[in-house]
Parts: sequence; structure tokens; C-alpha cells
Amino acid sequence: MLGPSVRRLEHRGHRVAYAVHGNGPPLLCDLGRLHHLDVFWRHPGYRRLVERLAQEFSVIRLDRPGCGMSDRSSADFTVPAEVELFDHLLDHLGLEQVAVFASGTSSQVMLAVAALRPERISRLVLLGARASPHPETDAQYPPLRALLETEPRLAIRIVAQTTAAGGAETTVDWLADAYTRAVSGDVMRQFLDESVWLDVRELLERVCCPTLVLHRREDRLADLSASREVAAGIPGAILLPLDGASGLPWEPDLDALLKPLAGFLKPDLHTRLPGPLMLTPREQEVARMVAQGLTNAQIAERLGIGRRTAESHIQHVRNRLGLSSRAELAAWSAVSLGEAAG
Amino acid sequence: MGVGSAMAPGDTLAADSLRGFSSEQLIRFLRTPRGRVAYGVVGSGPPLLLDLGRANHLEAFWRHPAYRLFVQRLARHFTVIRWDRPGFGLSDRDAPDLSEAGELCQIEHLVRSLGIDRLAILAGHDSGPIMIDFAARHPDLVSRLGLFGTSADGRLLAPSLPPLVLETLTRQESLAIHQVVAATLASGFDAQATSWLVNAVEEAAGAQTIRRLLEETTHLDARPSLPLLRIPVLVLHRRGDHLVPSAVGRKLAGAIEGASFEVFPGAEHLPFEGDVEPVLRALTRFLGEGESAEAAPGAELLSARELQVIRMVTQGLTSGQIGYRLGIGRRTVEAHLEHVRLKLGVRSRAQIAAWAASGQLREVVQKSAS
Repeated sequence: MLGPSVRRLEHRGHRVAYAVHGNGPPLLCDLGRLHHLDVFWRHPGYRRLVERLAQEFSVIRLDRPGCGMSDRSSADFTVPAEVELFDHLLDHLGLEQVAVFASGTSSQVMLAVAALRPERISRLVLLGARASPHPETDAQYPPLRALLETEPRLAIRIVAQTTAAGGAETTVDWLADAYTRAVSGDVMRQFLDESVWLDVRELLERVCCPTLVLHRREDRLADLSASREVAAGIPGAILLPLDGASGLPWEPDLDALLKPLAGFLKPDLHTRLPGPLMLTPREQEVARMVAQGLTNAQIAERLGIGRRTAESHIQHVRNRLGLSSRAELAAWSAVSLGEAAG
Repeated sequence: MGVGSAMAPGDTLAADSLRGFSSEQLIRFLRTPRGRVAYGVVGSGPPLLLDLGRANHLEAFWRHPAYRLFVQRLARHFTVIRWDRPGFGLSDRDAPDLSEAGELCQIEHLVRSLGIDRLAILAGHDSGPIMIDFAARHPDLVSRLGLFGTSADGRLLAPSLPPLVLETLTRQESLAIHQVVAATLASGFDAQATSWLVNAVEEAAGAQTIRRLLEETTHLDARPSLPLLRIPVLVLHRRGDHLVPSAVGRKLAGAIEGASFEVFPGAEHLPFEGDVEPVLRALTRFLGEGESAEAAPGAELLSARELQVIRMVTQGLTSGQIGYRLGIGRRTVEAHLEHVRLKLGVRSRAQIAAWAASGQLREVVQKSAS
């Protein structure tokens, strides 16, 4: 099966790779910062999760600088850098706001982003979230860091084991391999240095979007007290404990996760429209012509394409934006593409 | 009383779309003067506050299959709300207030924050006397009260330990006092359920809080409130309860005007262990009665046109379709429905349909015809 095409964004002089799948309102799906768009996509469980979400959302995934298919020459995992990247990605996509689903190492940093950019996140779903460093970081991180210098493969396997705790041995193998492909040993070290001490407790109060904190009962990395700290700290947040152990969202039971996830994100389905950059240039052109009141035949003639092709463009745009009629599309174009049209 | 939460009233029980997708509990937190208070919501239907004892932990109890099943069974008929008091479970633990006055204040805060007009309460063990007091003081907030394995007199609910023994049991944050409390509550349980309860109580609170709990429980006395109760009350008890003998329950029911008493086979002090079927039947019958009984008063006032509209709602027609059939505008249909909602004291179209489906529509029509 063909993966989605990877797009690129120029960010601070480097190229950041991202991908958009599916139709509907935008959802930033951030399932770990040590990410590789292509390697993760090839994992059946991961892909099933993204594809299911893509049935209702325009799912946005990305590789951070230094990781995966992005420029590997430099990385920066600090909160200010994360906020800057988030802003830039949304601006680039023409989005004022996105819903966010973050798990594992991404959840902590997305909490910080949600607190610092409250106007840009409409809804936030977290899995395996921590607000403060793991209580055993003091004892466990220094030896792990030393091991990264001498036995990087073994150290990476330990990181994978912790993340996929409770999962099958094959899952740990896969994750260790995926990490190895996603980042160099140096970047892994930089990532851990910049993230294991991260403490966002003081920011929780400032997260003001509706927030769902999913908790896996047997999760050792983010136990009940960690999830409780996050949910109790965010005004109005919901804590939903689920069975299972893994920090990987698609294990053990995708449906048990997707039902509440989609149920929570759904109320926003028709209230927020994605920005113009969710569309290809040709689709934008077509959308503008619809707003000008042109018929399909007129649009086809102007673009020098067949009428059928024009119709299929319009259908595609409507699907992508989650609009049910041509009138809605015209209204959307007038607002979202208004300036560009003039 | 200020509601410390950032949510709009009514939003606290919200995430309705979410509840439908999961049989798991949704846990939320209220901001109160005594810190953050955790409450869990599961199911749909009229609200029921389930408070089976003060030594609680929303998650630790929920992990016990028998307990979870008991709550999920109730959740088929009710929106079941459970909570951890300050000092316990998932709530902030640094400022518990287990006195009668403190309890009443916290419960009122919880109930008012939920954004609902009235709720039914099922109280067990040491929550019993507190909820009796609460219901006597707030007949506007409590529609019905179920009391399981409890007494109005707190002295009958806590093991009476001499101060020196209490002191010894709580020394150095040991878990001895938890074991005493759990062993007491587990009256009638098998070994496996007892061992779970010991762990759950250990997880629920620190030793000093458990000690305060025991001390305060002996001071609870709701007997003066019994003659003041003006709502339907059902007292439930297991026949073989060793901790609180069923005679105590019988006496409790006798002291409340109009209260019923039901006794069930078994020796379990807490309702979710042992034979739960007869208990669940009695509870859903008693707690569910309120629905139709209270919706009825305004029913005689329904006009012929309103009855017509109700029938069409029951058939699943939209307002537009109803308007078309009756030759009136959609707005007019909505206005009719608004009147119907007011008269029946229900909130939603679905509740109107449920009211009609329960056979009461026929009753009203027959009455108005005769």
C-alpha cells in the first residue's frame, strides 16, 4: 500500500517533514517525539490507528528536526523550540487551531504548548502523560546516559522497552529498530537530556481547552498518580482510565482507545474549518471559482480541464473540508481564501 | 457558595458524547476550598449519587470486578456519580474534614457543582448517617434516598477502639489501621474479596486520615434528622450482616415516616459482593420510580394538540415532519414541545418519548376521554 506523500516545511533553515492524511477537521497526531513518518507508517498497528482517525479528520503527523525524514543536522527538543515549530507548522498549513492527540514523549511537551498557545489548540487528548519527571529519573537516567555512550543499541532497546512496557517482545524489537532509524545516538542523547527533567506542573493551570487524559492502568512509565496529576491540574479535564499497559496507543486494543478519542474530538467536527493550505493549489483555485459563482462547466473551461475532472476536484475539496454542499464551500472559500482571491 | 470549577454549569456531567462510547468511568475534578475533589461518572439516565462508604478510592474500587459490575448495572438506568472525599482516593489528601459539618458542606458543593436540579442518593456504611442529614436539610436537592447496611447512629458503624490502641495502630504510618478498617467492612466477604478490600483501603488514604475517619464516625448521629425526612426512603440490609445487624436497619426504617425496609439473603455488609441480583432489582425499582411518578403531575394539563405532537415524537418524526403533518409551522411545533416539556417536567425530546412509551400517554388519553 502506498503511503501518503511527505511534504516539507522550511523551518529555521532546515527542512521539516510532515504528512497529512484524510478528510475533515485538522488533528495533529503526535505519537512520540522520536518519530519517523515512513518507518512508523509501515507498522500495521500504527497505520490502522492513523487511517481510522483519517476517516474523520485531516491527520497531521510530523518528524521533528533531527528525526526521521526531517533534516537530521540539528535538533532542539526544548519547550521554546517546540512552541516555535508548532506555530510555524500551523501557520504554514493556514490553520488557526488544531485538535491534538499526543502520546508518550509528545504528551508532556504538548501540554506545555497547550498552555503557552491556548488559542491554537481546540481540544487535547493525551495518553501516558506526565507533568513532572519520573520519580526514578535521578537514579535511572545517569546509567542509561552512560550506556548510550558505550552501548547505544542496548540503551535504545531499554528506552523502547520502557515505552512499550507490557507489549509483546516483537513490539519492543520493532520500536527499538524504529528509534534506531529515526534518530542518531547523538540526537537520542540530546532528546533525553532535554526532556527527562521537563516539569510542566506550573503550566497545567493555563491549559484551557477541553482535555481528555487517557490512562492505561498498567502503564509503568506514567502511572495513575502521574495521570491524576495531569488531569487534576488542568481545569475541567477528564481522566479516563483504560485497561492495558502499553504506552503505544494502538496496543492492546485500538477500539477501546478510538471510541472515547473520537467521541471526545467529535463535538468540534463542524465548527472549525481547516485552512486553505490543506488544499493543493489547484483545489484552491477551484474553490475560489466556486465562490465566484461559476458553474462546473465554466470552471472546467477556465482551467482547460474536463468537466468531470472539475467535478471531482470540487467533490474532493468538499470531502477534505467536511462540507456537505456547494453553498457551504462557497461560503468557506469567501472567508478562508477571500484575500487570496482578490 | 462559589463553584470553583472553570466549567459552565451543566458541563460537569457533560462529555455526553463520550460517556456513550465507554463503560469505563470518566473522572473529573472540582476545585473546592479543601482542594481538588475527584468524582467519577458512568452511565446515562437520571443522576444517582452512589456513596457506599467514606474509605473510597474511585480507581482502586473500580478495579474490583464485582464492584465494577455492580456500578455498571446501575449505570444502565442511571448516571451514576461517585466521589472521593478530600483526604481520600484521587482527591487532594492534605485537608480532609470528616466531621458532620464538613461533610455536609462538601456534599452540597459537589451536588451543586454538577449542574443538576435533583438527584437520588444510595448511601452505605458510614455515608448513611451523613446522607440522612443531607437529605433532611436539602429536600430540594435529593429526590430519593436508599440506605444500605447502615445506621443513623455512627457508634454502630465503627469498631470502638480504645485511644491507646488507635495510637498504636497508626504509629509510623503503618498499614495496621487500614487492615482493621478493611476487615470490618469486609464482613461476609470471601478471602479473595477481603484481600482486595484491604489493598483498596490501603490505597485510599493515609493512616492518620483513616484514624480520623474512625474517630469522627463514632460522633455521627443522624437520629434527630429521621423525623424530618420528607422524601421516599428505602432501607436495605442483608439478613446475616454481622457488622451492622439487620435489626438495626429495621429500626432505622421504622423511625422514618413512610420508609420501606427490604432484607436480602446473605451476610455481606457491602452491597456489591454476594448475591447482588435481588439488591439491584430492589434498587432500580425504588430509584427508578421517581422518574415517572414525578413526571406525571402536569400530565393532565396537556392539550389535545400537545398529545398529538407527543405521539408523533414517539414515532421518531422531526419537528419539520410533525409541522408538515399537522399543517403548522416548525416553530409552532417547537413551542408545543416546549410546553410539553414544562408540563411533564422533562428536559429532552427523548424523555418525552420515554414518558409516552412508559404507557402514561395512554393513561392520560383515557382519563381525558372519560
